[in-house]
Amino acid sequence: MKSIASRLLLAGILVVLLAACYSVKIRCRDCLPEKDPTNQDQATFGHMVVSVDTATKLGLFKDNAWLVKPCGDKGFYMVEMRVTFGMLMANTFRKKKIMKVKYICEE
Amino acid sequence: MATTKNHPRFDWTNFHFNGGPYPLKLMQDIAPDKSIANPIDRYNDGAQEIQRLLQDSIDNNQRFRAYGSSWSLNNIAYQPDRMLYNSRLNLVIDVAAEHVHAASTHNHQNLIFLECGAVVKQIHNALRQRGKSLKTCGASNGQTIAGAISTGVHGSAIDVGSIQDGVVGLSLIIGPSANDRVYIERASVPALSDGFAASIQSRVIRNDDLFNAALVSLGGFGVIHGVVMEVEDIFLLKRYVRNINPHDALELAKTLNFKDSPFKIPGETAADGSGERPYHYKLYINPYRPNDDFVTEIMFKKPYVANYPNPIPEIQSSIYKDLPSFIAWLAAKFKRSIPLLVAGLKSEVFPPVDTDVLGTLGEMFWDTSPQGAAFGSAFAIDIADSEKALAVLTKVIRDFGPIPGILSMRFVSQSTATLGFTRFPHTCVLEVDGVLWTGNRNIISLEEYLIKCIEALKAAGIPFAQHWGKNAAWGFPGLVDYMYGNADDQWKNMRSALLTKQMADLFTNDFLNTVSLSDFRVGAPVELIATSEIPV
Ligand SMILES: Cc1cc2nc3c(=O)[nH]c(=O)nc-3n(C[C@H](O)[C@H](O)[C@H](O)COP(=O)(O)OP(=O)(O)OC[C@H]3O[C@@H](n4cnc5c(N)ncnc54)[C@H](O)[C@@H]3O)c2cc1C
Repeated sequence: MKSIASRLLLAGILVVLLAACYSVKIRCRDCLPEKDPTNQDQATFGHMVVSVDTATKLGLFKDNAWLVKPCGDKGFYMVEMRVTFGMLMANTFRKKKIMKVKYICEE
Repeated sequence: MATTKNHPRFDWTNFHFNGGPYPLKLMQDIAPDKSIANPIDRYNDGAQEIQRLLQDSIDNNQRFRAYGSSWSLNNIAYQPDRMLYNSRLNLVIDVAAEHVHAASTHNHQNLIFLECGAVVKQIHNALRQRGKSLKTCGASNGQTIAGAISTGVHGSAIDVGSIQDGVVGLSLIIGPSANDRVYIERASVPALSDGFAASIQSRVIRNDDLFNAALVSLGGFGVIHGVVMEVEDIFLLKRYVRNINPHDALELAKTLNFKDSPFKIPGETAADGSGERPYHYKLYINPYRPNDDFVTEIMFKKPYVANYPNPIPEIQSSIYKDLPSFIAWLAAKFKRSIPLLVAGLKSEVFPPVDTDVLGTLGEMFWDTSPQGAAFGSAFAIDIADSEKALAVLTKVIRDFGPIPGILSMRFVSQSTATLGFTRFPHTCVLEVDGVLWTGNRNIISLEEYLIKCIEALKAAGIPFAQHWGKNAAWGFPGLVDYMYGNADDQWKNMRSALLTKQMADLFTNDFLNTVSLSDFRVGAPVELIATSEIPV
């Protein structure tokens, strides 16, 4: 009984940890988002969202990476970088660091 | 040429997933031709495309309805055949001095011509660049101008009306023919010249009653293609958030007499120590602890100066942003937990007390982040009834609830629109906002709760009207008659005189049927919509 309970507890903790993540959103103060009336997603309703799942190889002498994405002749309305706990774990042991990036261009 | 992208078999929903998803035969996404440099030419090109779409709807025997940002919390924007997403038609056009009517008192610099899809944030930005400002706006900035006026969006500017009350001219498309582009304004307050109307290829009607009816049109007067707004010089607002005892708060609610109130903001007083009149007054109330202090958000108008700190980090937006949806789940499971949850979340859902911020109207009522399923209901009442109405609704919430929401009160001047829901000389808008929940054996449903509110206000003999863009028991028998007396008849007469029967039906939807506003009055005299004399 006890072992079932502790396994369940462990599984619960794992689920929570794997789901745990951090994300940073940067939003432009005076910009307007590019529109997409077909997007009825809760968090980005009505906006044109581009998602990028990216893996970046970082070497000893390279501590940053560039993602160059087109927004026409406009800038970004919003950029979100998200790293889940799962990615965090994977990133510790891999050369290729993974993260999710979402962005919305300016109208 | 403006172009339209067709999305067949589209499941449409509104911003707060309120009802729906609603099946739609065709969603049409119209985009302007940006290669047309002259804004008026681009505007006319857009009008031509809208008329092509109208003709196509007629040919296919389908209804047609324009919509904006889908921010209304009910099905007012929906009809199942064709819906036109018009938010990309968003020109902001300066009014030339020679386009002001000879009998007008308007300064052309205080007039702006907005295409239907311009969203409030875009308008704030454009006006700021011109050293101008809207007179008022709602608590956030995502509505389109056509959508906002169509339901009567308001803020809490106590001596200003709602957004539609700043409109001085309407450019409508009421059918597919050349004669179906009309420019309407009041005869008593003319704004723009016949030359302006000719430039947008429209015939002019100057008629107060028609204008007032078309101002809050619920999507039923055809496509609003553009509006002429009166704006003013840019100003700043100094915003204070304070606790206020319920007695003082409600005395102010009933009278808006800030001069003699014991509630004062240091620094916002006249030389004799009496309180200055604010621009904005709003109250937040926890219905489960009505004897606790309320929270008030109060703003005073200040002259614009260039260098002030960026207020955005301090600005907390409306309730929609903040009530997490797990409350809805908890509420449905354990209804006794709701008062506790609402109290616990006070710091989340009420603006933080004792913060003072300075900013423009556009900064004060900044972006909101979509947060999923929410409800919002708003009852307009005469300020004299505000204390009584608060007691009535609080009792409904306590007797039949609890429900996962909080109360707030906002205040505005009377709207000139025939069906403007802010219809009392000084109107208090008593709102309950929260997360959507599902009723079960444990907890009353939203629909039942909304009926109870109407029954209770009627039983207490309190005249009221409800926000067209929010949740209400719209099917309640005789509701619109109760709320508007004869005004709904006036609205129907004007609509029937302006539109052909075929077009009135084309622009009808379930919402208009439900509230008994869709019936067409055959033989409504055309004199009703004749141009009236401009008074000298
Ligand atoms: C986060 C949030 C905050 C809100 N805050 C406030 C507030 O502070 N004050 C307030 O009063 N309300 C508020 N509301 C309600 C909302 O502002 C109104 O319902 C408003 O009408 C929505 O504008 P929209 O552009 O989304 O129009 P929609 O909801 O898309 O449409 C509303 C109506 O306008 C019609 N319409 C739209 N465009 C046209 C056109 N071109 N021609 C003819 N008819 C047209 C539609 O058919 C429909 O009948 C809020 C809603 C949300 C989601």
